[in-house]
Amino acid sequence: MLTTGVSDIDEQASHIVTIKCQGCGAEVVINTESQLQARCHWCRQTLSQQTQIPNGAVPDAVLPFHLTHAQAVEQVRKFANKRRLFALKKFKQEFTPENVVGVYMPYLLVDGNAHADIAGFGEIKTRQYQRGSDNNKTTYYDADVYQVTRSFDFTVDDLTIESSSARANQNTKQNTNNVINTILPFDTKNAVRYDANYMGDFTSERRDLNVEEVMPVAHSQMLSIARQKATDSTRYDRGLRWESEALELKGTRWVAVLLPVWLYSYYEKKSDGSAFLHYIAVNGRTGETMGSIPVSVPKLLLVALTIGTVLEGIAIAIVANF
Amino acid sequence: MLELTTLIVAASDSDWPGWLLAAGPVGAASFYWAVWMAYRNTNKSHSYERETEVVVSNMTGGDVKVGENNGTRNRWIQGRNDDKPRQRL
Repeated sequence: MLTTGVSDIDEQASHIVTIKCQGCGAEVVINTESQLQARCHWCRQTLSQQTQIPNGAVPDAVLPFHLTHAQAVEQVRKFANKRRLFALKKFKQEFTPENVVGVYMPYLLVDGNAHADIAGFGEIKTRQYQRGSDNNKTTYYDADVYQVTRSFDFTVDDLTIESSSARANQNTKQNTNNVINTILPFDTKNAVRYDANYMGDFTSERRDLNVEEVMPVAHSQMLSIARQKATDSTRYDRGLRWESEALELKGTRWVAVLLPVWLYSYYEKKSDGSAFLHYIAVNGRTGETMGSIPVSVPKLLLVALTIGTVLEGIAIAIVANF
Repeated sequence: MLELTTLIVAASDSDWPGWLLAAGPVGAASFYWAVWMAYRNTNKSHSYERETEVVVSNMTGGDVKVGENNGTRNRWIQGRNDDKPRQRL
């Protein structure tokens, strides 16, 4: 079942415009009533009205910000201060937590009703003993092998899935989107019906993925949940080897929602000319913070090698005197 | 470096604590990895398997003993994957 989030733009949202950032290509949604000059929340480039593009669908719901700008600044500062020693010098010099911006990120919430069949093998230890001489003992185990099957119905409530294709790409070699994913979950039960006035000074991101496109992700996540539930229902002290899994989705209900995230971004320009975007993200409701701090590789390498050399020196001394 | 190599070759003798020589490389690599992960957090993501609200009903299934695995040196069942719910089978 689909909700109203796929309907056309209504009048209420007429002062909401979507602009393509000329800096990084992100599609940023702003409220022209309260923001005349807006910056891209990803790369802080000033946005130009000239590059306006059509708005996407109006979301069903929005979860308003609870954490204030000052609280978010404090969270970002705390997170970065714990990671100063090996941080890139330029990052430390340019560190301005006040630049943290509030962004409504688009997600699809899915409620699902499913049936799962999971099967495999589990082992229970019956004996543990040692063999060999005093100095060269080996531990052996005896175990009973069980065939394990689990079949059950389950409902999933508000599984939260990225609905912006740029943000859904979680390749940590290319980006740091995973840190934004990590600050989930939100108290989505408190979301209210979407109203353009909630946008205020915040920017937003356009949803460009439809239900069909995120369905494989939802399916896989529900299967993972089923696997976890199946494991939780067992007690095998030598673990399980699941060999088959099947999920029958009986029904899903989707809601397009905007969730509040405070975002601090830093563009790392690498020596080879390429750029890498680091984020520190703060959950706009719970304050949960996660981020990526650029590391000074030469400094870290030097310290790691020094530690290695000291350890090796001690080891050689022990071995030589043996 | 040559000394180190002879030491490592000699390390194949039992009783002799040659494995200690791995302390340097292993220590350096572990330190590098630990700091990298603390700063970059590339291994982090939302643990939806545990943090999503789920209601399970009509749980059925079986646990049938089908054999024994005696005298194994492995601490865990071979191919253990109950700790990797995201890995598709």
